[in-house]
Amino acid sequence: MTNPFRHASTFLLAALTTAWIAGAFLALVCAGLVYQRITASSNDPWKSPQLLELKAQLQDAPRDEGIKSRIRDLDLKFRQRYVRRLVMGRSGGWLLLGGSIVFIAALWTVAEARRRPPLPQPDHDAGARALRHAAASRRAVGVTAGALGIGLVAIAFGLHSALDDPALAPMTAAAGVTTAPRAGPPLPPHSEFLANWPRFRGPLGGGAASSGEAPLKWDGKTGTGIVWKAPVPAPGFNSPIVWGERVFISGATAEKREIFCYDAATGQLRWQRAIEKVPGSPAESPPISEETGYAAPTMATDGRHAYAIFAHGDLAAVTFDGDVAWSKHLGVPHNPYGHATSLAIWDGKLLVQLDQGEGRPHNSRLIAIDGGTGRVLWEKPRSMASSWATPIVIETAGSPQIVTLGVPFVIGYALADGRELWRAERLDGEITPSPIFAGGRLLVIHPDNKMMAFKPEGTGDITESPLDWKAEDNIPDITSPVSNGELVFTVTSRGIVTCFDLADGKTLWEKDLQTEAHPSPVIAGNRLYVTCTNGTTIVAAAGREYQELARNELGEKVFASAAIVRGRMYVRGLKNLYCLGPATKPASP
Amino acid sequence: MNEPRREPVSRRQFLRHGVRLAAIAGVGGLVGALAGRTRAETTVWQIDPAKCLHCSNCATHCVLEQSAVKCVHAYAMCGYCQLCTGYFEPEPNELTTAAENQLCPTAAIKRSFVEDPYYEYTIDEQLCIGCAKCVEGCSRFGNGSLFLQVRHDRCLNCNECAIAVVCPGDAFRRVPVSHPYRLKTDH
Repeated sequence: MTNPFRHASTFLLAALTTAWIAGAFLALVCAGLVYQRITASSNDPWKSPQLLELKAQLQDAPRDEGIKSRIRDLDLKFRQRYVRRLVMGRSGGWLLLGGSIVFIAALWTVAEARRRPPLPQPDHDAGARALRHAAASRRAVGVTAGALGIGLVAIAFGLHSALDDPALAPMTAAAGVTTAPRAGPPLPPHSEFLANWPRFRGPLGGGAASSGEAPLKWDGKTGTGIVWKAPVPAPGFNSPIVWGERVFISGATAEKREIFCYDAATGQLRWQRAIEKVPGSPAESPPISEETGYAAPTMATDGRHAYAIFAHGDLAAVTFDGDVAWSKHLGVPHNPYGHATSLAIWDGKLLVQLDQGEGRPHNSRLIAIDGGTGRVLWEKPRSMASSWATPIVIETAGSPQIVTLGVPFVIGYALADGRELWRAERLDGEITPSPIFAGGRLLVIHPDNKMMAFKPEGTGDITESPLDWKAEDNIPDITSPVSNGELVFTVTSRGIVTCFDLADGKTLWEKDLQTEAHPSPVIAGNRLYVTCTNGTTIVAAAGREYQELARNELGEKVFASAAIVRGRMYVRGLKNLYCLGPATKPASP
Repeated sequence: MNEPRREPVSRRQFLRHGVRLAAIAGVGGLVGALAGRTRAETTVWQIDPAKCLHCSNCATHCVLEQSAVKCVHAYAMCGYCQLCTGYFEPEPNELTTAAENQLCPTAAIKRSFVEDPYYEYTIDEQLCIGCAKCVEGCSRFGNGSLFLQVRHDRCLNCNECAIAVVCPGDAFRRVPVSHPYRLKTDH
């Protein structure tokens, strides 16, 4: 007679052994998959620097069969390794599944074999306990049903689908919003906006200072008329903007993008903030022309945040204390010279004109963003290739509209919702001079060709509407015009200053400075300031006859346009930022 | 005990019951059809080729080890070029299928001779990793017939698509499941 307990013991031992083997197998497969996962990124065949190096060498020696052979061997090796990894990944999943089934079955068998059936015991309280459980179960079901009902009612009336809400759609679609939208800080009054220099060429984008006061004379060598001078730590062709006691500029290289805030009174660098880790931003910088650089667009501010955009497509908002409020990546602009269109701002709405594409449009668009939260308010596609002019916001018939330039159209958009109001086909070439609005007329420039004045009236295509006038002498190619409401002044990059009558466009005078001028001219009161690239600024009377009032040397090259606020002028040189005006304190560092 | 005898159904009653039943079935069907139409349609992720910037994020940011985004080919737009800029490296050493000449890092594009001087290019989706190198080449210098699409036999349809979050071109959209692809038909 056989011993049944002996068989049971052998069965338990076999199950235990199987469980151990299956467990070890699972651990081994898991370790293999984890190792493969960790090394996956370094084994990407398309990231091999060795392969790229060999391909570069082949460019130099196209007949070298040795290099070709090494490329083929390396390519074969990488692809075999890649396919092997894929196969291992798939097989590993099946092996894990199979191993897990065996492991669980073995453990279950062991547990069953070890289980001892419980002996029944008398339970005198069973009846009362069953009644208590039944009552508790009824209460639990009731409470759960009630909570479920309240929850469903709350969901039905309290939530809305983001997919169906057109106002939220752009927000969810926008790339790289780093922070959830929340109420931003309150917007300062519009009078404060107009009293500062919050964007490229002043609050209205026309280059005219709101106060009539501005310095007349200064000298970079002796320091006369220079309130302070502060070094600029990073390169950039953008112009300074000013709000209250703060002056902002940005700077960038291929590796780093930064915003700098200076004290307007002393020139002390209050803080500098690097813009980094923006989701979606490319690891490698796109190639940008040195003449444009990575920080050509001028910043903007609405008194709550300061905003900056870089040639990489990164857009950021920083608080006045230097903390990043929000940032997002708008895609690397496809621009032959690099993105240089400055930011525009009006009533807390940040406007980004992102024209791009070489020869033909490539995802060009105009975007309006709520400055406080970073939420995209609206976005309009534009059928235009790259341009470099900065949009302006004008008030007509009580409603603000945005005026943009891009080949071949001048377009007016409603600020509120981005609706296109009108368009006129009047441009060609590489559009760099920005439009201005003076005396009820828009002045736009077809570079090196003509300046046109017309009223932004009508709807739809207004190409056939007559122009008020056009001028064809000494038309700029880079700089923007400036007006005092009676006269218009332009400067060509070769240094010819011309005065036109705003009423009929007739040329009143012209003056050849015989030196290059890339900064746009500015006006304060009855003075015209024309800054040349070599750092010389000619102060002339903004009148019907040419009269030179002063000629000032800064002693440093200047490419950016000046900002004039409360009688002081802020000029960015290649190496230093200057504050010019009546000396109240000795020049800082 | 005898069972009560059931009254025979007259022709008029039969017709009345039949019409009533048909009316109830019709109303029920109408209500069901209306309910079906008012229900929101399921959506899936898809790439708008017009907005795609060919940045390679699709290859690296998908939660799947091998991205659900694949290159697809609009044959109607293809020029069947001998020097295909989506297939060959810029300034290729020779117009052969050797590794040093191919742009695709996984050799997922197959090149086959049609007739002189035309070649047909097909995508092996098992190998394609969605890196968009070919798309960039074809869009920049060619007809733009190669473009990226989310393949729904692989896509997990996550609530928040990891690629959409970082897509610089804002090219990812939720589309109805009845029209799950955004195919290119012209330039």
